[in-house]
Amino acid sequence: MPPILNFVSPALALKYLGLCFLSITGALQIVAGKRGIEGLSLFPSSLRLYQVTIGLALIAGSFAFFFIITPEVFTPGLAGSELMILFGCGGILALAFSTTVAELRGNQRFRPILPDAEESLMEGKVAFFGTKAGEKVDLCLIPDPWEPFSLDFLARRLASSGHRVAVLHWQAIPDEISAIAFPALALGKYGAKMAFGHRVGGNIALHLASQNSQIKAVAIAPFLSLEDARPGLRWLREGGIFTAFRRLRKREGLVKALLPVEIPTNSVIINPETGVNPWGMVLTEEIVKICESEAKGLSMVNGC
Amino acid sequence: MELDYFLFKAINDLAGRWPWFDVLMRLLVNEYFVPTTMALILVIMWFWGRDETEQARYHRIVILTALSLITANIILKGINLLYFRPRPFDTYQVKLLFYKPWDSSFPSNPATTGFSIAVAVALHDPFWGLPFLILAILFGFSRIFCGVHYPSDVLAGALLGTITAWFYWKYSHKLEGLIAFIRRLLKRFCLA
Repeated sequence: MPPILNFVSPALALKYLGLCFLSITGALQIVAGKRGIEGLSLFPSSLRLYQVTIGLALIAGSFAFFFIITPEVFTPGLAGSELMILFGCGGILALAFSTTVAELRGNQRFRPILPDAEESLMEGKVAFFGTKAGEKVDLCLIPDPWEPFSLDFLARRLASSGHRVAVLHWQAIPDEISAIAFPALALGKYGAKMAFGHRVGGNIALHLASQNSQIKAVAIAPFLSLEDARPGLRWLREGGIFTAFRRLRKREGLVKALLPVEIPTNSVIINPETGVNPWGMVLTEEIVKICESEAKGLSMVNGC
Repeated sequence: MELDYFLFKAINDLAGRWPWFDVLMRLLVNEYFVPTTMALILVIMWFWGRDETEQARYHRIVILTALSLITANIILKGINLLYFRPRPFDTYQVKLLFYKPWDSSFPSNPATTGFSIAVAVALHDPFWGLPFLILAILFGFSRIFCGVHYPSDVLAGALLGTITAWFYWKYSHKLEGLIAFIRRLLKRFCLA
């Protein structure tokens, strides 16, 4: 019986490893583009439309390149077991490459947008868009504590269509008490009747709405079960894998404290599948429309 | 045996008639193109689920397919140890479009591999299974066309792959613990 592994041609083995690495990277780009998996994506979400094409081109190109540079394909070469091992190694390399690039790219996703005014409140900061510091606002945006600037873009969009918006900028990851206390204080102080939260911010908004019937909540991709806060593929939809691991422990604790959340009748929960990716979310016109219509509804109820 | 050779000759005689078809068969016949393409589709399937339920379903299919592939190949190695059948080019004059493999002709290794993957996927999800089945059939056909296998080798390989895949499909409920364990392990790395 021949040995299971002998790699009769190291050059061929190396070329095949290259084919596996490139083609699996292409396959990962296809799924990243089609399913919005940020943590595997080599490109920003704005290029998502082209990502599938890039992935397919990478696969086709790597196959073409392999067959052009490898005349040994038609000579006795690698055994099936060797092919499996090389494919596995190529897969690990492609995953490591894609997740690392996605992580490095993802770190620069959210930059703060210059607000019209800003003031400190408790241990955080409140940024005002479309109004002055300390004045009444229509909406209070509560970002995820791990992505404190993720809603700035939305705030600017709403302000440009005439809304007065306050964004709560977390200065540090809050404990379960200050996670509720800081937004509750901000809502009371600035007279906002609508809390708009993203991820853990969404849980906080729902909590505030269930405690006070005057407040309406819009929650994008909140954690509706503790399982959502545990590691899994869904984490890669949100960002890089290393970021996910960094967030893991504290986030699970915070979500646990904010669960079980009763979904108040005057609240809107936006489908987590569309809302997990903050870039996709803030760029979606539909979200802005929901936000605006909810705000208008509140104004009418309040007789403003 | 005569029927086997008759069919082999009928298919192998087609080689050299249409140059473009020879090129296509040479692309399919090697050990790299079809298995790698199948494995790539499985990678895509793994990440394809939109939500937890869909992901669990796809992960289950991929894990059972991998088990089917490994099992079929172990059985194949066992058969190869017990029985050696010479290749068609060892006995007859053939139109050979590929190199001369030295291992046993029966059962066909590529057909076993192709069908153990294709049938495993198709039994769980006919939509995803279709491209796999097409690739597996073409893979098997190309081996006869290029003169390295008898039709009975390919048929036996296809049968071995199919039976293994069916076995895992039929008794998959007994493997739920293993599937859950693999998923739990990969979840820790955010890969499931």
